[in-house]
Amino acid sequence: MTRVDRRKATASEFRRLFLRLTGRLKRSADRGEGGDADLRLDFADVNAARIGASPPSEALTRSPLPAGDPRFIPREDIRAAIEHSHAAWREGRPTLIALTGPSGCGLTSILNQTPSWLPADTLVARIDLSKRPDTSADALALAAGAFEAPPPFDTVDSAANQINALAPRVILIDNGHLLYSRLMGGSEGGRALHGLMIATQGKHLWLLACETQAWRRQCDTAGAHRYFDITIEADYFSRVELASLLSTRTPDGSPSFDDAAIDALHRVSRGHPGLALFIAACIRRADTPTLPAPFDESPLWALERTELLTLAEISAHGMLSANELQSIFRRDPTSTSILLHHLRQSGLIVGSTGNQLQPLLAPMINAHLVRANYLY
Amino acid sequence: MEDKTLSQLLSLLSIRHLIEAVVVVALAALFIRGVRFALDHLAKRYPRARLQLAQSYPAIRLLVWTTTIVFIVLVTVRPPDSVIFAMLGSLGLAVGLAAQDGIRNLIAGVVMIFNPPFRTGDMIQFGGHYGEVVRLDLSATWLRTFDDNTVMIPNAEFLKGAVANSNSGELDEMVVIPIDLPWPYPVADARAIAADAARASPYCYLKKPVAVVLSQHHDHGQFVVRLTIKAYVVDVRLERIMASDITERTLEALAALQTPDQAVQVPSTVQ
Repeated sequence: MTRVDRRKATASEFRRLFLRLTGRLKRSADRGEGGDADLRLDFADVNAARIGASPPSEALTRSPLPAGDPRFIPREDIRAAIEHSHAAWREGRPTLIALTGPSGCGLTSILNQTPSWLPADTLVARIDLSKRPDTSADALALAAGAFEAPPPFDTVDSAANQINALAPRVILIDNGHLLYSRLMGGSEGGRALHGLMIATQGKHLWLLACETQAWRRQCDTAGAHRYFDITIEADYFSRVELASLLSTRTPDGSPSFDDAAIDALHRVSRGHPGLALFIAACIRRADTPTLPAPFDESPLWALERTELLTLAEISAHGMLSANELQSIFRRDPTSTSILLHHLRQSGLIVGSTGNQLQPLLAPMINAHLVRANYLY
Repeated sequence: MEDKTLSQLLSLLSIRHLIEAVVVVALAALFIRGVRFALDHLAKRYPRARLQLAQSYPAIRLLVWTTTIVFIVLVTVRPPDSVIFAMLGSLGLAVGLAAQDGIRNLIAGVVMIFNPPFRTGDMIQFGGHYGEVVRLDLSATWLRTFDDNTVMIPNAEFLKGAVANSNSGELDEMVVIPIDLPWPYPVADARAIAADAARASPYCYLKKPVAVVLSQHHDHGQFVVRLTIKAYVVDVRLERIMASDITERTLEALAALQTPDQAVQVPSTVQ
């Protein structure tokens, strides 16, 4: 054995000892492998094959919950804030509400429940943004659709006049992160919709659901916080809410989670409900340990500056197409494509047309980007 | 009296004391190296705190060496009071001779630790050199310029002249990008384009404002309008990259703005 080999062997022993002491190492017999195995979860496993291949059962579904779904975990503080703001608006106070929260904290589910929290006679309209409104015309067309107004709106002012002539209603906007754009000239659509909200807030109540990073950018670049007088901040689940989630979603007959398992699950998932459900599904498998293991974050540490900046912009925009990334970073299509494929294969982003952070890993990726000063 | 003090001092310099002193100095050096390694490792893991971590190193090093010297003198050697007073007298003499360059630089280094005009990680302009402070020794300061040159400046020089500090301990800093346009030119459009280009750059720190100001001057026989873009970069190390990126975006957009009959050359000056 050479000196280098001896040094590597010693380092390997120390690493194994550390993993065993921190509970991340399983006996080799459990896996039927020759050597000890590191049990930390790989990012790529979330996307593909080994763990996440089969779609989650109905009970463990990670999709947003529809209105009145019994699996919805009550967020009483958020509900109270919305009800209070609605009451103030009905009394004549112009109101704009921003509902912000980190990616995957359940903003869409909250928005889905909102109509049931309001008085029965309340008219509710909804705008589900699926693409970024680049121009004023795009934004006004969205508004026209929400208000079912037949004539197309020409300008923000004429649209405001027409909308203010309609019966009062509550307008819910989902995926509000798509209102932010860093592209040159790309902020026009977002500004037009902001302008419409400001001009009509006396008659209509607007509730914009937006991911935290995109909301911060809208505040930094368009001063959105100056116009939205109510900002309701949602967060990932607390330990109690996570325990409630697991008990709600645990299929009948399955073993329940004890306190230690819930503590570990909350620590590893950081309270992200989708990630907690994903890990819960993983640890129910026969060949995985009772306590969830943390993720191996080494792919994040291996990223270089351009990749980190790309992830930061994707996070701040919620979703970016390859063309938009080319424009933001002024790169050619080939290098953009290579970069995106690399990030996709690393399990950090998903989507083919619109690239977004892997929803389950967003808390870890965002925390890393903030620590590295690429998100602020 | 002097002979007596000297003989006392010589009697204290036994082999045992020398070995102990060497061991203590070696341990101190090892400790400092360990601190440096740990701080570098932490800075890589937490880049947002890299300036604060780097700034703590000179103070830690001064503290360790002071403690080491005090330990060797008072604990290891343990000289009588007369010898201590004699040594302090000699030290006073040395300080009195501080006009000598080496000691002057050392004293300047100590002064800069307690009253720093800049810290490690700051971008400074001094004596025709502009760059990041990468190392702050007791006697000299090391800058790394954007040409990747390392410049050593004796610390005493900083106490004589003015130092311009671009970021003062922050990771972000203002970058000033002048772009010259021939007159006449649709300046309102140009100003809007310049501001949009700055905000579109992925290196621009959006928590701080972007400003574009206009001025006019006469150059090479014609009037020139100067757009000065002032934007903050997210990290001082990306300063030049951001300046280049914003300039490129602005010039491309300005070129696209021009109609064929207005076609003019758009000279630019980027500092």
